[in-house]
Amino acid sequence: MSDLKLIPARHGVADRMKKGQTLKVINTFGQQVIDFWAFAAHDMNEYMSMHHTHAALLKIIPTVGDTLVTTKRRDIMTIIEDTTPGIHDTLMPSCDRYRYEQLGCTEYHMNCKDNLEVALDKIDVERLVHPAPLNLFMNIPVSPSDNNSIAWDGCPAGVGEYITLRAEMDCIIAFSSCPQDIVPINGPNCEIQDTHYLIEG
Amino acid sequence: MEVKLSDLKLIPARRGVADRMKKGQTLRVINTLGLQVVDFWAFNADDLSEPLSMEHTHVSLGKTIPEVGDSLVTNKRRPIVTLTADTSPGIHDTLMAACDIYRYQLLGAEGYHDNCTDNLGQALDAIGVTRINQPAPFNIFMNVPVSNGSTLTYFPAEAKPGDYLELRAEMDCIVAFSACPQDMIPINGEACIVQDAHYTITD
Repeated sequence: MSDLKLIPARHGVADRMKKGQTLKVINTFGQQVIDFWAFAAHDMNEYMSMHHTHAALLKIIPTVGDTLVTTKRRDIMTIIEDTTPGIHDTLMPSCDRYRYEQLGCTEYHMNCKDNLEVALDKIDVERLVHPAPLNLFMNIPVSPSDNNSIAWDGCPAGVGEYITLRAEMDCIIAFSSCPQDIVPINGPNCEIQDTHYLIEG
Repeated sequence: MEVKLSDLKLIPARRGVADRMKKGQTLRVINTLGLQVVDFWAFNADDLSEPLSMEHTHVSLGKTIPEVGDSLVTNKRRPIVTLTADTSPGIHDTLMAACDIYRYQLLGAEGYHDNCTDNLGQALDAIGVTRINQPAPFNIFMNVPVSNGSTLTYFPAEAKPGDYLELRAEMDCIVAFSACPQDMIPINGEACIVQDAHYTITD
């Protein structure tokens, strides 16, 4: 328990992993979406890429056994365990101030894009690009009718459920407990929760 | 809208081309010989760090395949091009990365293989623009349906000879194209033949 690290509700955190270590991302209170990024430790221009992963996996929702790839199509993270219903998203960008402005916010709203930058800054890493995240536990079903229409459904992950990933290269990782409280992706009550992670090995 | 033959600009098979548009102009991308996938990018002319963004467009449109009337947006969620006409079957892709040398190495190609990622860099360079990022392209005419909620399958493009798609510029922008050189997977038709395409920019 002492190894558990906090991803505070609405905020971001960054960390480092060595190749071979495992990362457990825990939906501590349930129904919380976590934006997740990974960058090659030696080159912040090489990062886990959703578009390249679509080609590598020929699926839009990665599952246990799948390895997500970088912009150079190299393995970066493998999903080795998933106790949630297995619903995650690879189609959505991070929320950002423009999103909340368009949703009607007139004051600053915490957002995953800014959270990534702040999180990397705290570990003295300069963000060079802003990749689309792996949106853990996010539920965005695609319907083949109507030009692959999408819906923003509630997060199905239960209390304490988690996903475990193995690093396939030394990398810098980052998380954001998504602050989205206007669209009910974090559950019908739109409550933002703390989550936790654990790096082992 | 009639286009004159003299307006036609070539996107050579396997190659990239870049150009500039003013807000309000119309771009027509023509599948001249049919079945050819054309990767397309657009950038705010005043800020290359603001490109057309597929993931932001997914949010804006609530779908992954744009159709006539839809405005595609940048990474600042501002409209950059609006789809105003589409004579093709309307099948396009916004989920796939541009092909690159790594893709062809993984597919078993020996030596260098033309690819859309390098084509973008060269096309921008040819008009004196320095590429600073590599956004995922709008893969015009590319056919990658989603089944069972997640599975992706490559199918040949369905666009017929002469089919076209029109985009109206919603800001001054730099546009780029690549007549995708993919000849190892049949996205450009079962015969895997890579073809020329054309475009026009009109007021």
